[in-house]
Amino acid sequence: MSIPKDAAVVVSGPAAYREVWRGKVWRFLVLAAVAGLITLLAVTMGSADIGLGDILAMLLGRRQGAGAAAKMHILWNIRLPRVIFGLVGGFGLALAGTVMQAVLRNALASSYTLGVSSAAGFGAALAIGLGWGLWGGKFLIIGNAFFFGLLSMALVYGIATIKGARAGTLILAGIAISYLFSALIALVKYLVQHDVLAGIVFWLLGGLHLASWENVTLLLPIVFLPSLWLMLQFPWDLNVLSAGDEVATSLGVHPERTRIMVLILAALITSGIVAFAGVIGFVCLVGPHIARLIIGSDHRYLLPFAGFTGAILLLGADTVGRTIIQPTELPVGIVTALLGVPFFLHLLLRSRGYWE
Amino acid sequence: MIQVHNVGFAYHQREVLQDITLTAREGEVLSLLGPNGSGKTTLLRCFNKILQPQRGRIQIQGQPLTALPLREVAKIIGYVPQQETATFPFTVFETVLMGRRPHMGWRLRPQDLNIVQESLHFMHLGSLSQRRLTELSGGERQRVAIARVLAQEPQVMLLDEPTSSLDLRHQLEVMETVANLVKKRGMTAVLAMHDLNLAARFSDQIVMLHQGRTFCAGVPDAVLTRENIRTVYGVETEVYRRNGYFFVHPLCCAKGKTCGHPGQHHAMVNKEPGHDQSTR
Repeated sequence: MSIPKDAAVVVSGPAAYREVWRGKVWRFLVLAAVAGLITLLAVTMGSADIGLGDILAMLLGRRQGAGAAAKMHILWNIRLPRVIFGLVGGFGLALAGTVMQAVLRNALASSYTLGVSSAAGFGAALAIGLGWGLWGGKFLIIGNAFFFGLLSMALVYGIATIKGARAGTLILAGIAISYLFSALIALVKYLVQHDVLAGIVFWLLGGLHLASWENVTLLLPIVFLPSLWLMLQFPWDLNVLSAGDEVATSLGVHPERTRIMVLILAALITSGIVAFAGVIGFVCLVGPHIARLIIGSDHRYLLPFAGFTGAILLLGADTVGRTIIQPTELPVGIVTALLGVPFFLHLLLRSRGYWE
Repeated sequence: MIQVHNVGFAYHQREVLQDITLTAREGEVLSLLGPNGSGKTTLLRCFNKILQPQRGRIQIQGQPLTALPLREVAKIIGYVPQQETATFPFTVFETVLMGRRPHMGWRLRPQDLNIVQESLHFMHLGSLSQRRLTELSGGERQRVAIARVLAQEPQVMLLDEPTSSLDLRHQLEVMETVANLVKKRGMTAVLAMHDLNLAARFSDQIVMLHQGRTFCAGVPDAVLTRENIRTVYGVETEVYRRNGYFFVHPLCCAKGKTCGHPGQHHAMVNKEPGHDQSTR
């Protein structure tokens, strides 16, 4: 098809597009700067006094003074894994939330919606409370949480294969499964002793205290392989799904197949993070909205942008949480909500036409 | 060109379509008429694999539909839904860009952007291109949906009740645009319609569906007769030609059909001058 010239066509497509594109690049640069700044703050802030000079010295391999070795240890073995853990966890949670909201066409979708969070929580509660798990040793809690997170997705998938993977069906199935596992968590809490109960409650609040190089190297591939796949393979399909299943089909996208594939990848990412960091729901729900308000809905840009937004949110909240009432730590789940909600509401009230 | 032969479709044992046979050629606007539930939308959705008919054959440009992967179908057939949904605030530009999905990979090529821009201009959406879909009126969204189909560069357009949410002016604009595209570019358009007058004026061929079957088919003058409309819609009408245009004027619900107040039918029919009651 060639458009007839009588339509008074001014061919300015690429030029107009490039202008919009420059705006997006600019926003990405600001985001990267903020991420860098928060990373530096997170590394330098804490109960041990570590300045930029110490970091430079470490990077250059020069050690001076008596406390240098201790500082090095704190920096390298405690702060750095925790910072990376926060960045990776926040990235994965927000990215997973974005794709879940897109394929379920629901602004309230998050790792809670499909039951992933409560199922993982139940797995952890089982391990902490009753000492029951698929694996023993140090993977008792982590392995159990991961397994039950994926199990919830398998249940939702099973329902979808029988009833069809429409967005509404999946949300209802997911919420039902979420309630089921919440009830099971309550049951475990009810059955166990007080001191064990405290452990379960603490885990369910979520936090980055399990950060270590070993855990970070385990978590990295679980988050980044599915994330890369989502960012490279699915942006156009996610865009098209927003216009409805019929339109998506008419544009060559299988809505149900895409939905299931994307949800499995998202469940893999969130189960991994929740297993190590507990239930941090807020980043998963609101990270995508903050990103969408800033960069727009096109998933080619939105997916990485949401990921970095989530990384900033989680790392920022964790840094505030562990420094604001030293030497005690505030759970990161509480801080993310306390800091993120006002910022989110500000963006929401300022924007036009974001929600109908 | 779409050729449909003996197509039948059922939702869970409930027959929705039976023995539908029709052909829509290049340069032709074909309208599907019929009351709610007569199967118009279902038939339309069988044409581009949104639904899979259990019986019969559908051929697109001479190729059997079942042999074509979804993406290949999407290169040939475009679809405008009844109501354009907007879950998330995509801009008009981004929405129209989705039409390029069947033709490209991850990266945009300059020609993709040109086609999108031309489609926007063609549908008079140039000034709205960076607005969010959620901010637009129903008529503007309808135009966006048509612009997206143009960007898709299909040979066949399917439109599901394209005028039902539009005001008078936009109804005419949309129908003129569709008719123009069909004539100038030799495309094929299949429309599900409720408005008999618009269908009569802009269609080359009308297929009237009644309870999931083809009741009659042909040029508007032949199909839109008083008798046919009474049987299919249960409505008494006056049908006439004036200044070269074909008009269907509804009078009242037909007797023996379940709508309206039974007592009033007779009086209303009598009041209407020129209405021959003996046909009833």
